[in-house]
Amino acid sequence: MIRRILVPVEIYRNQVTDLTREVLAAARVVGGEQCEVVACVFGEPPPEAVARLQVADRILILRDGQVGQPVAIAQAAVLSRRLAQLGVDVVFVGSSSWGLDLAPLLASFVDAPLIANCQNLECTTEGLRATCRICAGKLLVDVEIGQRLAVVLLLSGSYARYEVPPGKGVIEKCEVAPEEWDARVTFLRWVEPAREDIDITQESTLVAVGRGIERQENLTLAEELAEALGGVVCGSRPVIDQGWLPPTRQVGKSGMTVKPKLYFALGISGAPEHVEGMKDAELIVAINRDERAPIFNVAHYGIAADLFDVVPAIKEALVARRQEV
Amino acid sequence: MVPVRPTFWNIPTPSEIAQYILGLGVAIFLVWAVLRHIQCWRKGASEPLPPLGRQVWRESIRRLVRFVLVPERLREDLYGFVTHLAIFWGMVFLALGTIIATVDWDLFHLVLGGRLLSGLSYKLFELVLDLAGVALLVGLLLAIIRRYFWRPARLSVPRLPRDKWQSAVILGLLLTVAVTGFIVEGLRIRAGVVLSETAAPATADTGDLAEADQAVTVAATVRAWSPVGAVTSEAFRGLPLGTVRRLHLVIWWIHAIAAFGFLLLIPFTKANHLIAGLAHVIIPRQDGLPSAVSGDGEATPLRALTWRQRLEVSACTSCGKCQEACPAHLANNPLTPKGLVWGLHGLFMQDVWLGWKTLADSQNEQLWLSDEALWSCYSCRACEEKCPLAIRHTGLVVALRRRLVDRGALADGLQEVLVNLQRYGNSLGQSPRKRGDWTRALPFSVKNAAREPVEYLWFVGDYASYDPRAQQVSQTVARILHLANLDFGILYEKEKNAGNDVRRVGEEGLFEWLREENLKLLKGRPWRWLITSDPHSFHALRHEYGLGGCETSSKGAAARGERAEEVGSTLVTVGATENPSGTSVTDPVDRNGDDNGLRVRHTAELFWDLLSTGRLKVVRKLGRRVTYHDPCYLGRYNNVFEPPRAVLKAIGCDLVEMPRHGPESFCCGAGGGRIWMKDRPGSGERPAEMRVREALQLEGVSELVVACPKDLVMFQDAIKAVRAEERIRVVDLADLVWESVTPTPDNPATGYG
Amino acid sequence: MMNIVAVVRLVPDLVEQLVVNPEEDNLDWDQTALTLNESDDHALEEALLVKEKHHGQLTVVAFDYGEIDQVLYMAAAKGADRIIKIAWPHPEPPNSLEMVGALGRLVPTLQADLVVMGCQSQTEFFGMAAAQLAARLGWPYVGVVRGVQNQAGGGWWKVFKEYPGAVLAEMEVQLPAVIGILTASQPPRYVPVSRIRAASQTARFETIDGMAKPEESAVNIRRVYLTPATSHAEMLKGTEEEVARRLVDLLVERGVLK
Repeated sequence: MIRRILVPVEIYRNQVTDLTREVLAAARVVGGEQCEVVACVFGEPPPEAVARLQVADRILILRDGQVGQPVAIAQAAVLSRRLAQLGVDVVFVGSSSWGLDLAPLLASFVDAPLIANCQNLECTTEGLRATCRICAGKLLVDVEIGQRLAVVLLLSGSYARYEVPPGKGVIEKCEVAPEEWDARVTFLRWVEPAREDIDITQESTLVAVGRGIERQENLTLAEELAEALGGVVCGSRPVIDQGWLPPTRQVGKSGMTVKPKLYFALGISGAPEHVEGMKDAELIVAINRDERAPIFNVAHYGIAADLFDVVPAIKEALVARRQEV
Repeated sequence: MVPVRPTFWNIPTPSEIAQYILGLGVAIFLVWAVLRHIQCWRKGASEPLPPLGRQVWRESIRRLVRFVLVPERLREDLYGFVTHLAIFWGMVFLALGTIIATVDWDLFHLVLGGRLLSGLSYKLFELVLDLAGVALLVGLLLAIIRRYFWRPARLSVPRLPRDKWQSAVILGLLLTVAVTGFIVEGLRIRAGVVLSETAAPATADTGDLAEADQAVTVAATVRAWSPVGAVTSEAFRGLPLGTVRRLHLVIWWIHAIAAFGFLLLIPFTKANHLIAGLAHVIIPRQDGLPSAVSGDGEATPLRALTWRQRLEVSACTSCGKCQEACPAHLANNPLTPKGLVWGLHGLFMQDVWLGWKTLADSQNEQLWLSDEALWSCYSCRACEEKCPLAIRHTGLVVALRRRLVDRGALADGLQEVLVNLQRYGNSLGQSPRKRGDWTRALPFSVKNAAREPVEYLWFVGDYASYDPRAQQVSQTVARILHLANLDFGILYEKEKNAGNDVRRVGEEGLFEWLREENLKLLKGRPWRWLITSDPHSFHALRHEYGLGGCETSSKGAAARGERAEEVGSTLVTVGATENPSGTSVTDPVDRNGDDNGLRVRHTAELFWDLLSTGRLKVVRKLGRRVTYHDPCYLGRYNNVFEPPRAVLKAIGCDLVEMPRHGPESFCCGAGGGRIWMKDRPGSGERPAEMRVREALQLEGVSELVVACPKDLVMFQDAIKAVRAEERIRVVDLADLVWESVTPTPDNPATGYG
Repeated sequence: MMNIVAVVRLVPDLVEQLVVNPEEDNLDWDQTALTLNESDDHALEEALLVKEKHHGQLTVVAFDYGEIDQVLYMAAAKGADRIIKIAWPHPEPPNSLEMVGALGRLVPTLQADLVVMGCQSQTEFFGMAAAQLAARLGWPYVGVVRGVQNQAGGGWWKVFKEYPGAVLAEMEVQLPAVIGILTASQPPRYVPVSRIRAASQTARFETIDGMAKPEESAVNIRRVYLTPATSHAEMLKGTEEEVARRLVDLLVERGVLK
């Protein structure tokens, strides 16, 4: 029985992140109706943000001063002093860059066990059961923890599609004294890469290229297909590292997460880091010479052939179809 | 009176003495210059000579004939061949003539009071030298026409400022020497004719001058023996004797200065190929790669070379024949073998002459010796095959690449591969446990040579084990060996990359480690033959592993079937010649195919053995028109040209040769580690694509036969790139053999076009 | 002179198929090939860059498990000044808690200014060593970092924390600190095998006993198993033209074509 789950809220670019919303949904699903879900916001949130926290029963806003700065260690310290008095049983943190700092630090500060790389959770009479996904997704570990304060780092994906009813949404504010803030780490500014016009997260059709494209010149193949489909080209990390596409076109864990209607994966093997960025696409078509490539476990349709043979044929078939219509 | 050579006629004593002094000065300078060269050569890293015996010196003499006396490498370039022979032999005879004349005058006449050249000997002397002078003149004119009027690319590209002034000056000086030589002769003969027409001597002096005048008069009577001189003398008909004498002295001095000038310039210009080239050709050498020079990644490129490499670099004449053949250069990569060697030549000359700037082309050197240029090399040896001075460009590239590796300045994509090789023993980053998985598709099991003895130990290689396309060929080879009832096996997961390309890439330490690991399996195991279908592995195993490098094994022991047990147990331990810190001594290599107990065979050789001895029988003749691509490491490196052709003939294929075949085969572009490196953007058509186009030109040929797994992969991709899948396909020799020998015709090889 | 400490760990090499032990509560470590943790490789590179730029002394620390010696020779060849092995005579590698415990005892003795290690390791599921080491030491921590080099002055160092879409958060940290590296400012350098072999002759390791003790976690392992392949794509087969036509039909059916 979990009485209270606390979810630290990540606000990025003045918005509550999608991952935070997913974690809140997870808290409701795992905790059940009896559980109180507390969303903890660091610093005064922008008004639109609060609307996204409706799943929570309580919205705790910690303020003022620098609390809103994305400095995980200081925020973890501030939070750690309040967990006991809040009567929190479990803290759910999303596995983002910020969360990967916040969760372990928080766990250490309150001397609580940490469950990282958590894929899904279950509440039992004895405590909490979780499944952790490690070794680049190849190994699963089922774990169990007794009744005590614990911190969980949740991977994105498992709870993304859950529809949960809104909670009570009571807003509460709490003051943080300046001395509480650990000033040994400060945030200065965001450094943005050179921005392009195209935001691939807004595109409905994406044609992604991976190592299998072999050479930069062969990008035209992908570009032609994208054009025929009315979409744009993006790529996996190796292609960006090579400099064949700008970083704003990178799909994956360290790039963008995209959810297009149609995602073509050309010459992409399907490494977990890439898959994480595109697995929620509605329709995934993969083309890879190796029929055992892991991408075929994620794709809806697959073609085990040489993309240099198949892609021109697809383009022609599209053109032919267009002419028929 | 008996005609004698009228040496120093009309030359006043001060001039004569001045000439002797100058001559002595030039000689001393030349000796000193040669010593300085030797000093700078020796600054290079050490490289041991092969053990010196009679055989080795015979080799030197053969090379002297092949490269110096009648340069065989020029034979395809008939124009160049004639030019060089004319200039070379012209100069040789003229030089000999000068020496004989000196001996005749200084020794015989001044000291002994007699004459060496008189009468018939004098007449012959005159004739030969005239002809030599003509040859020289003709050669020079041919050279001038080609260099300045026709301007072939190999001479004018890339722009070599140092070469430009050197060529002009040397040709100019030699031309001056040749022309003034004839003018002096003509003037001398004219004087002799005029004197013979006047009764009394024209000068008031007595004694020597009178004697000299008499000699020149007599000599003029036999002017028919100096035909060119005689003709030239007609040009001065009508000139008074005094004018002739004055002109003669002036031209004589011009001739002397031009000759001395040329001699003085030898150690400063490419003319020092007379010294360095000769030395390089004659001095015996190891054929393998020289040992690694221990780490000094930042030093100048020259520091990376051994003394032998410095010697050969200073022999370069920037003729550019290497460049014409280089696939990297033809594919618009920044590499030019000519620039590479010429650049090093410049650095060497700067070193000799204490940093004199004009002796190097520093701006261009950045380009020729740049990292990018060095990484562009395919180590195919097409350049070495063409070089008239037998310079070994690939050895230079490897030496310089070692420097880059030391600094960590690796080409794109190479680091990952090298790390994979260290971790997994293969360049593809695949699990070593899966190395033998390709055997699973076979209907029989393949022995594990790491666990049980086999007669034919098959070293498969990375690509043949892991690449799906090459795996099919490995399966076909296995079927053939099984059909021929051979006792064979593979090493499965214990086999590691043989290291050939690792060595060419400059990672000598990694090569040594791979070799050690493989030798642990190969030594002390009683195999009779070590076979492989991969020419790269073949080369390393045959020459760089110290297997069968038995000084004790005679040619006879290598013959098939003889003294099997003895041959199987005479494996040489390599460890004895290496010191513990890992730097190795050059491995002994026998390049000319005289199998020194060489029990390493390529499958093409093996197939020929099996077919010619009847162990494999041809069941059906294929009757198809095919062309064959000689792999660099099988053909050029190891002279295995005939066996695959014999196989094709035996199985009934009609072989049509591509223009560049045999030793001139055009590299597919996988060698030198290039198959591991990422391509340069926009570098134009790749060598494999050029080669496919070459094959497409042949009438009625629809199959390109290869004998190397890398060729297979490269040409398949190239055929797709040029969109020629309908017209030609790549097929391995093994596939054709199988098609020909398999008893059941429903297993045809399908090829991988 | 600055004292930098880099920690390196071995993790299962995923090129091989993973094997779970018969009890299903751990990997079969005898059959598991190990390799250097990728983010630790980057951390080492970053540490070397800091050492070179700011003339520091670099100490590399590792647990004496598996073929760690090869990794340490490589680190020595790349420029590590001092190499310390923490004795670990057990059949299974140390877990996060054990690592944090041992490092927490060792680091104070080293007078370190900066500790760098990979911010994650692929076998961590009940601990994250880098962050929790910082907490144990009471030091500041920033993780998922690319680049810790520039000195901002007065003991403050700049770090760049990676966010999605190639965005970076520029932050400043006061030393001494622990930094969790994801990627280094430049790819890990290559060191030729000849140098590694030379290092294997000359490098001296210090082994420290008794630092590491087995520790139990409050998280109980119920079962360890290989991830089952949950689903698989429907594979389209045939000639290129057939496949292309079928695919276009599907796209039309699904309404994804514009």
